[in-house]
Amino acid sequence: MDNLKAYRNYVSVLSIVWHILIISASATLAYALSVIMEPRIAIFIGLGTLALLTIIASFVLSKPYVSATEFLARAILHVSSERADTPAPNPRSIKAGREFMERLASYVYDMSSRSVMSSYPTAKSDAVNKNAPNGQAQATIKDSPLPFFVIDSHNVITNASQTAMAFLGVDADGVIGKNIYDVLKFSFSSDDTLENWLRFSAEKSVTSMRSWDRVKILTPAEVTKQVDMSARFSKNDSSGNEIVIVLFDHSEKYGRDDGGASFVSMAVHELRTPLTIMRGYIEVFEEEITDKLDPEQKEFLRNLSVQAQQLGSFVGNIQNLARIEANALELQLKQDNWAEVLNSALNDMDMRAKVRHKEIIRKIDEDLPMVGVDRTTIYEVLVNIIENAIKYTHTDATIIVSTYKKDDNWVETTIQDHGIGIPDSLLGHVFDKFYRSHRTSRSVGGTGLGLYISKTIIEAHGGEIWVKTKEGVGSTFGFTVPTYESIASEANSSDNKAIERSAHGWIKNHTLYRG
Amino acid sequence: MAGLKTILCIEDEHFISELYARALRKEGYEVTIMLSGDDGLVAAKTDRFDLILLDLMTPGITGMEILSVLKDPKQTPKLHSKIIITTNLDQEESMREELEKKADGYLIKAEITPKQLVAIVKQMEEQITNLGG
Repeated sequence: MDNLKAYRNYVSVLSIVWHILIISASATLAYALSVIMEPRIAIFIGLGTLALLTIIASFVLSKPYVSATEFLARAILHVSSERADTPAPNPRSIKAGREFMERLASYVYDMSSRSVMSSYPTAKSDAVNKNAPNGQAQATIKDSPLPFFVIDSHNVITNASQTAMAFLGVDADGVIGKNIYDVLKFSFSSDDTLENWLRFSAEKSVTSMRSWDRVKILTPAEVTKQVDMSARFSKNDSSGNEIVIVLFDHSEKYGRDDGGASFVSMAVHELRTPLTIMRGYIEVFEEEITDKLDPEQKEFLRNLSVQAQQLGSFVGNIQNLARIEANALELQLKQDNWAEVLNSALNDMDMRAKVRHKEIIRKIDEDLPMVGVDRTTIYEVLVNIIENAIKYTHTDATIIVSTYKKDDNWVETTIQDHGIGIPDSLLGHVFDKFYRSHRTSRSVGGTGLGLYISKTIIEAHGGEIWVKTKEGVGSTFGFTVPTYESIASEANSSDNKAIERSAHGWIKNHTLYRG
Repeated sequence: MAGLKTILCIEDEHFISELYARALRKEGYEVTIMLSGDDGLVAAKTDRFDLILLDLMTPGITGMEILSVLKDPKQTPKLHSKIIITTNLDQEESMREELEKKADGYLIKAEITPKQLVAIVKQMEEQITNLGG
């Protein structure tokens, strides 16, 4: 407990120094006053000053203690299920002995998960427990204030607390004996997931503990919860591994925090307003003065229009990125005619290709099956990949967009450019966030967001995205979307059928396709 | 004849409302512009308009509040007006249900030009006429 010692010394020294300062200040004042007035009055004034300074000092001095105590209290309340609205303690609020307090708080977290974990019976009684709801084990679990689950080496839930069932809104049958990933649909903000940690632990550890915060969980009742989560892994050769997972439900608080994410929505709104106005005026010019312009001026006007459209796509990308980062990308897969979707995007992109002196060639198979896609986001995928192809294709060259039925489950679309290609060493990174070819980043504009967003959206559709390339010849990007038939059973049938969304919005009983 | 002859545009951004009004008037529509939510609501309640273009971020009462008042039978007798939300806010999942129930359309302004707006209004008009026989 070296930290405790350091903390105590810090506090003692601080307190002694303060008191010496106060007493000497008061004595000096009393002495100075005694020269000019009656000594007795000077002593009273001195004592009064002493009292006053002591009061001030105690306020100042007590602050570090109070903030430290508050920090610890928050940690305790945070783990206690009765005060679920208590925010997580902030170590930055502590001025004195921060390290010590942080360690204490981590003890609190540790102890609380350990006490929960020790309140469940050992793995051996699992089978009994499953079949004997009145057994002693069940009784212990009833008492646990926090939702927790015990899973075995095969991720099967062997035990869970009553609070866990309440948390999920299901009874024991819906939990015990089920695979944890079927019951709890986790969504972690990074690759640092429960699954990866378990895999690592199973290989390398005998026992280990791990915590995550702000994990999103979709419950069987389709409710999204936000939790902090602790897990303990212990290897047990005789009865297999055993993992205990404890949840700290903070859905309400984290839900409130998410309101802050609308900063991006506001920024997007602010960017779109001038964009709307610019596009409006450009259109007026295109309609009304094109006849009076010479060919060069016409081209300038067309460039202006294309750039405004491009800015619009970029703003849409920002919004999508924010959604992806917040785990809030929501797709509505609906039956759709893929040729129509593709043509609508290509019509928008033709002009963009033309102003850069490139041409898009369409090879759309007839007799494509209906597809199940989210029209808004898939349109953005098309725009991003085609935009990319336009950027990297040599001037006066072509971009070939083909689409065909791959098999009963998938329709594949490829976008082939004739450009510089991608070096092998970089090929594995093209779908990374903010990736851009180093060689071309100076000559070709862009942020490196488009392909990352496209990959996320395609994968959310269940499809695959890929790239093939030959340096100096060009690259081909391809992706698959599901046929409607293959996803019909999963498509949201309760959804409002009169509404067909597009990237531009929706009108009841209408499609917003533009010719 | 059923149609969408009279249009109320509730939009605080002067340039946008002018552009929309100009494009619509060229095609023979009668357009009234209201620059604030409060004025917009008063005008909308008169039910003099066949179509209301409603921005969500209006000063004073917001577009969402206007929509709620207009679609609440206790506060507004049933209107014949169609209501299209015209906004630059992306539709958030939390508002989806309410918007889909109460509005007849939702358009992202940055994604459509005034001419495209006119085309959409015409399309709606055709449909109403067809339904009306």
